[in-house]
This record gives sequence, structure tokens and C-alpha cells, in this order.
Amino acid sequence: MKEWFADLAQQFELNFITGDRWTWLLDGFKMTLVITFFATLLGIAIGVVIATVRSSYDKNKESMKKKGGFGYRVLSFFNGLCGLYLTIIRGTPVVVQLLIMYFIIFASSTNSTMVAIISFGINSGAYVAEIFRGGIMSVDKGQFEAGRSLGFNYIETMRYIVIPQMFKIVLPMLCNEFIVLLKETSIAGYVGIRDLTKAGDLIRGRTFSAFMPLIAVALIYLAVVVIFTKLVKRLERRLRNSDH
Amino acid sequence: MITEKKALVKVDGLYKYFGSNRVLRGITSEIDKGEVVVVIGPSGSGKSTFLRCLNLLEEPTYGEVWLEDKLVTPVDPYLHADVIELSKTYQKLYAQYKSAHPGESEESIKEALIQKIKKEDLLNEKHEGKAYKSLMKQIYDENYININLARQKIGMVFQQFNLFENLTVIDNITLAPMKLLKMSKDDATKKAKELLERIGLSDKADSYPVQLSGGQKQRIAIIRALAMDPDVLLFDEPTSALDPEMVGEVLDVMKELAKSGMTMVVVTHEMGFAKEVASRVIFIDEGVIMEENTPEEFFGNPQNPRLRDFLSKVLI
Ligand SMILES: Nc1ncnc2c1ncn2[C@@H]1O[C@H](COP(=O)(O)OP(=O)(O)OP(=O)(O)O)[C@@H](O)[C@H]1O
Ligand SMILES: [Mg+2]
Repeated sequence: MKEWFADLAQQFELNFITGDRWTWLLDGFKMTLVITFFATLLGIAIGVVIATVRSSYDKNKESMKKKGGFGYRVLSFFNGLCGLYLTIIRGTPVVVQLLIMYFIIFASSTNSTMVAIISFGINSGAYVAEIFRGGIMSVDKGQFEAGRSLGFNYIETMRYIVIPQMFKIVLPMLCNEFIVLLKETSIAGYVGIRDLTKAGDLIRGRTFSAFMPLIAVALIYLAVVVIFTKLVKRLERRLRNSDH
Repeated sequence: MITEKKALVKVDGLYKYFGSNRVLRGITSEIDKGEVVVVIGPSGSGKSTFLRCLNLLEEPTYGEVWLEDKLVTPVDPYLHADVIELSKTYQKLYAQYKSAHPGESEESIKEALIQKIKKEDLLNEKHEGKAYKSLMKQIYDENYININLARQKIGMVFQQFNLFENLTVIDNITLAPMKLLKMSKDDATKKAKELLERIGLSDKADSYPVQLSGGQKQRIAIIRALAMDPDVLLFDEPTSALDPEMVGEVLDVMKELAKSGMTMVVVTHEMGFAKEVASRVIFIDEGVIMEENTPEEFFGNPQNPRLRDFLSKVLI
């Protein structure tokens, strides 16, 4: 037993203390957070645009089709484009998307962090778009009609009435998307980024002991996810109980 | 045509189809300033659809809606004989008809053809030629009003109230006047407070809709519409979603409005309200106006058998 503890302490020393290897984990963790955070932001931006295009197409296609004209063609073109984007993003693995981004589309770029942010952001956008679309649809139709009946146009009605109500519904889901993305970025090592996972793996390669660094990495992910999930649950409860 | 007194709202040849479901089948009516028109009819007869066509929450399949001298809907070619005459379809039929019926007068040919074209819905926007198109455009350009502007003048009160859940009562009332009429916040708030005072709900200014009873919500929905100073107010069964004890307070507000000279179109099952305040009652069944009269005649001496049947069921 004593021996076992001694061994453990020695392993710990070797993997984390020697050569300040714990800073590798810290830097990797920072990198993971940076990529996740900015990718989530990008995903939200893309998601808002896509959801707006798709739901305004759904809502206005009947009336615009009858009038025909330029507006309808532009809108249905963009709607088609969004549909294509959603199909491609949801139909291919993230790793493949990341590799294509890194080695083909941004082959000349040396900023792999930026490429990862863009890649994960574009991926996340597809899922966020559906979150927003669901959110918009879950706002009672009467709210929209009341806005229109007062004389607000489509965009004003969305801005003043529908979107504020939608946010209450989608905020917890967006936080969940952040959590999903946090885990998903663990493949960033494929394109040479030293994120948390890669940092653990680098330590393993240096010390030739797998247990300590990999379990440490897992525990860090787990801790962050558990804490965030708790926060989201609390947020959800607060939003549900609040009057507005 | 020229000296004709202008109605506030004019509905001409209104049809509305939902796919193969022909909900409105030719409604023509005029509503004058200050009138209170009550619309009754069985469930599913198209009352709500009729009301929603007036402010284009539903787009009519055929027909036109006018707000004073402004066209709210697109131009309906079937309502304009001069447009029909310019169409390629008319000209083709004219040549055929002329050779088949030599000696018939121009007038009666014209009439027969226009009838036929209307009845069989023969016009096809895309193939009627330049002259047709340019007259359509001319009529539209000369008369149309932007729908969002028109809606500022046509208030609507819904069965389900539809107060904005994300805003306080006062913000519900001031939002549209501030954003659309560019009223200052002070002016809009002052006006909103006066309106709240009028319905006795001043203490609810900072509440959110979820904190209110149905009757309170509906009264606030009414003054939200009023805050825009509309020319006409549409009510779609404003008391149907209320607990019975709250119906009275909403009807009282509506009665007061009617007395103050507001033009109103009210779909309702409240026959007492119709008898007391309506200047005219309309019975819609199967998408057409079956009967239309003063409340005294309408309830005292109904002509249409379906109306009699309907009244015997609701007036017990
Ligand atoms: N958006 C829609 N899409 C398809 N069908 C519709 C739509 N709105 C109404 N309808 C149909 O039109 C018909 C008339 O409906 P409408 O709501 O105008 O009736 P109503 O007279 O108001 O009835 P109620 O007294 O029940 O409110 C119904 O058969 C309904 O199913
Ligand atoms: Mg109805």
C-alpha cells in the first residue's frame, strides 16, 4: 500500500511537476476555452443569420411567391444555400471538416487556432441555427400577429417581440451547445493545436506513462462540464420561474 | 361613382380559399365611419377569416379591401371591367364570340364575356399582355397604401389577447406609438396612462401580462390598439376566452368605445351586445353574408331560414 502511494506520488511528480509540465495542461486548457468560446460566438452569429433566412422564407414564401419578383428569388436562393450548408455540416464528421479546413481551404494559413475557431464555429452554426429556428417557432403565433396588426413590419416584429421571447427559450440550449463544443474541440490536435487533450497526450509521449496525464485531462473536462451543466440547470429554472 | 360617399372600409368580392377549402365565397360590404358592425355566424363559417382579411393577416384569394380611398390588397382584375377588356383572353374570346353570334350588340357581347371570364376564372396574369399589365400597375400605383401603414389605422383585438409577454403593460401600450408614430416617450407614456385610467387599471402599468387576469389582459389589449388612434377596430371574439365573470368588464369597455364614436367590426357570440350597441348585424354562413340588417330587424324579424335556425339555437 505504502509502495503504491509512493509510486503514485512519483508518477505525479514525473508527469506534472518535472519541467513544469502542469503548465502544458494549463496552456492547453486555456487554448480549449479560447477555441470553444469564439467558436460558440461564431456559431451563434451564423445560427442567427441562417435561422432568420429560413424562418422568414417559411413565413413569407406564400405571399412572396404570388407577387413573384426579385425579392422572392433572392430569398429562395439564400434559403437553398442555407439548406445545403445544413446538409453538408450535419452529414459529415467534424474531424473531416476540420482537416478539410486546415489542409485545403486554409492551406496557406499558419494560424491554426483561427482555422480551428472558424471550423468549429461553422460546424456549431448548423446546430445553433436549428436551436434558433425551434425557438422562433415556439413563440406563440399570436405574438407575431399582434405585432403585425399594430403596423410593425416583419423585421420590427421579430426584433421587438419574437426574438426577445425566443432568447428566454434558447439561452439554456446555447449554453448546452457550449458544453458540447468544449468536448468536440478535443480533436483540435489533429491539426497541430495544443489544446487540453493534445497537452495530455504530449506529456504521455514525454514520460511514457499514460495513466496520470490522460486521467487528469478527463477530470478537467468532467469538472468543467459538470459545473456548467449545473449552472445551465439553475439558469433554466430561473428563466422558467421568472415572470418575464 | 364620382359623388358616391366614401365608406371607411369597403370590401369588394372577397374570396378566401385555404387549398380546396373555400372559406369565404364572395363577400361585399361597406362600413361607414362610426358604425358598429357585429358579425355572427356558426363556428367555422369564416368570421375570423373575414376579419383577418380586412387587415391582411390573411391574404384574400380574390377581391379588394379599401380603407377610405386607399387599396389595402393587390388589385383584383375581376373587379375592373376595363382591365378585363384589355386582356389577351378577352380579345381571343371576343373574336370567337363575334363570329359565332353575328349581329349581337357590342354591349351584350361585352357583358357576356366579362361574366364568363369572371365565372370561369380565365385570367392568367402572365399571359394577358402589356396593356393589361400596365393598367393593373396604374390602378395599383394610384391607390395602394403600404400594408404596414394601413395596419396602423386598423386596430385588432384577438380572442387570446396576445399582449406582448416580454413587455410590461405600459411598454405594451407605448411600443407601437413610439416606434411607428415616432411619439416621444413622455407623450406616449402620458397617453398610455390616460388610457389605463380610463379602464381603471392604472395600478397595473408596471405589471407583466402573466400577472393579469384574462379580463384585465383583454382590456389592456383594447387600449394598446387604441393608442395608435386607429380609424377602425376589429374584434375577433374578444370575450370567448374569458371566464364568465370577466365578460362584462370587457363588454363595458367596448360599449363605451362604441358610444364615443369608434368604428368597430366585432365578431362575437354575445347577442346582448349586438342588440344593444350594433348599428348593423351581419350573419355569415358558409362564407357568404346570408343576412344583414339593423339589430331590431335582424333579431325581431329574421328572413333567412339558416339565420332563424341559428338564432333559435343561441337565443335561449
Ligand atoms: N390558416 C388556415 N389554414 C387552413 N385553414 C384555415 C385557416 N384558418 C382558417 N381555416 C379554415 O377556415 C374555416 C373557417 O375558419 P374561421 O376561423 O374563419 O371560422 P370562424 O367562423 O371564425 O369560426 P369560429 O366561430 O370557430 O371562430 C375553417 O374550416 C378553418 O378550418
Ligand atoms: Mg373565429
